[in-house]
Amino acid sequence: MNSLRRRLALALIIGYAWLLGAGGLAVFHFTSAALTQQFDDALLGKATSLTLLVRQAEGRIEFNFPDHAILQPGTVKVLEYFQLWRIGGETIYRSITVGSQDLPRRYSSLSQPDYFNLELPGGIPGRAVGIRFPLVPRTSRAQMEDGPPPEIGLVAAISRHELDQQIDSLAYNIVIAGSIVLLASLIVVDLILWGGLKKLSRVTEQAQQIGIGSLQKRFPTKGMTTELSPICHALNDLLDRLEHAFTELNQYAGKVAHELRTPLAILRLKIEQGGNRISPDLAEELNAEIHQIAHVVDQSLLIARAEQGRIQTQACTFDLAELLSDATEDFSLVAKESDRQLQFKIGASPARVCADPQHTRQIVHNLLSNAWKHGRGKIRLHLVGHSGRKRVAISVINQTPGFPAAASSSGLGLRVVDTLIRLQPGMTCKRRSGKGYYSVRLTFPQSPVAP
Amino acid sequence: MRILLAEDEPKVAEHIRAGLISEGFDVDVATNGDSAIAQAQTHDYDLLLLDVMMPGKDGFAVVRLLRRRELTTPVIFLTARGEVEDRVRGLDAGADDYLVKPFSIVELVARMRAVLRRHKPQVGGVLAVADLRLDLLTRQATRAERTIELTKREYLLLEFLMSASPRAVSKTAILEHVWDQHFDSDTNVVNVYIKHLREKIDAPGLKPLVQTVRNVGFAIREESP
Repeated sequence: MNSLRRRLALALIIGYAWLLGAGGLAVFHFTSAALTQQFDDALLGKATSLTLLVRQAEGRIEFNFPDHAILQPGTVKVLEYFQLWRIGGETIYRSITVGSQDLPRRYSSLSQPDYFNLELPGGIPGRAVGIRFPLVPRTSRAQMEDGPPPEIGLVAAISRHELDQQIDSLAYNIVIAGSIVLLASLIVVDLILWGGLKKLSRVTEQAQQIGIGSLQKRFPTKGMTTELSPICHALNDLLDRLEHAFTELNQYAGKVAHELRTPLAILRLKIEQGGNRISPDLAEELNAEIHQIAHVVDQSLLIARAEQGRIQTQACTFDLAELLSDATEDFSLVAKESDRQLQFKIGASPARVCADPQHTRQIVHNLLSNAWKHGRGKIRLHLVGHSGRKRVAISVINQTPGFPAAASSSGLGLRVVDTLIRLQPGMTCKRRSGKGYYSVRLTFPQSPVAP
Repeated sequence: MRILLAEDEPKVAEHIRAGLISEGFDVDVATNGDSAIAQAQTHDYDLLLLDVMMPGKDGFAVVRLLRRRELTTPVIFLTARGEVEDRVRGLDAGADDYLVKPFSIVELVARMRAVLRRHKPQVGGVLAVADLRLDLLTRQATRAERTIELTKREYLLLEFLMSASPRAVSKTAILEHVWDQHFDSDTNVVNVYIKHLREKIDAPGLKPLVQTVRNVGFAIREESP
């Protein structure tokens, strides 16, 4: 979930879902309340019509109910439940549907009827209205004979199945419509974000193309949004400064080389042309020193350029055994003419590795030169591993009995080795030193494909 | 042979000029890139020696411009910049060789002769000293009608010595020319290779040609009577 687009889309959709949910709940609440109100009004109408069917005649209470069932608007017949009480007295009528049970005795004035939910016989959920009303005498004479009419309490109820069905349907429709709207919103939001962040992708793509060799490239500023435009301008300013500094650095390295090498060149040429005025052995000695200084300049510049990231490696597959045979040829010949012992175990089988061959050659040469220069005993170079193994390694071991361990652990040649190794992807170097020996083990990643 | 040397450092220019004149070349000097272009287009030179870092147009720009104008005179860069990328850039620009300062005149002359031979094969594809011959095309050495097998470095060493012949060349110059890796001058790698070369060239019964010139270096020439 690191994508900005996804994060924004998720945040927007969560926010939108909250709003949609709250809106849906409000719609549900108000609509279901309106439906219930409508239902209650119809129920009250039924209850009121029932009151008209109750009369007092000759001291008795008469009922003229057509049936225990009432025809509902439409064609659906819904069972009706009702019960009548004399206020503060006994039940005076109970519909057949109620059976022997009593309905809750809850009633209030006709102007403020009491609506409530209840469980009807047979466990049917129902809704009821309770009202109290004075019994109407059949005639005014009867009223005079019978005295003041008694007050009657009526609780009328019907199944709320239809209401619940409507409310459930409402909830279902709200959820379905909300889900469709949310899904559509997700797609729209994602498309909008994709369009909006497309420019950011362009900036990212451009940033990926900028490297040491392409510092002249710049971020696009035309058509950028007001948010991205200042970022692109700031990045371009930064690149301007970086490119300038890099050019300065590049020129500085060139100038240093020039400043150091030009006097050496003059010295060298002067020595050659003054050959008849200075002794030849002094001239050769001076030339050798100049050669050495020029080498130090080369190596120092190489380290500096590598640390600036300005050396590019050109890795390819080659046979390390062949390279070692070539690199050790000079040392072998020199060793034969001196009292040094060199042992090279290279083996005949090819050891294909993937690295920069020039750099590898320089590394091996520096290690052998270091061993030759700082040691006095046996030098061993072993090539371990060959085609078919995962790794190929070479070890250069310099054995010099009585030689201090630290004597060969520093110097420009080994700094160059370290620098070049860092440039080779997958190449590792392990050094060990002890009293009388110093060893370096280089491990190469093996090439998966033969050249 | 007429050479144009473009070098902004007067002392370096003067010493190179003097060294080349002593080797028998005619040398004109230009002190910046623009005058080098003007002179190269005006006169018919056999070879151009160009410094890379010069006022005005640098050496790379000079070569590119001359090549665009279809001037095919061979070019050697003389430069203080020895990085591989710079060498590649120089050769890509159209130069024939690239020599990093400091260098010896012997090395420079050897490079110049090699470049001239490549450009004008009729000048001579064979180096000869007494009865020793080195064919630069087949890279084969023969002496007294006998073929001499040479390793890669032995060949480079023999070619360098024969190019400079009869002059002696120092160990340092040999180290710089023959080996691309650095060897300390106290390493006797040059002596070892000279010994091997001597064993191959100066076979028993033949006049010795590989000479050790005391305190100077080595040469291939017939011994002075």
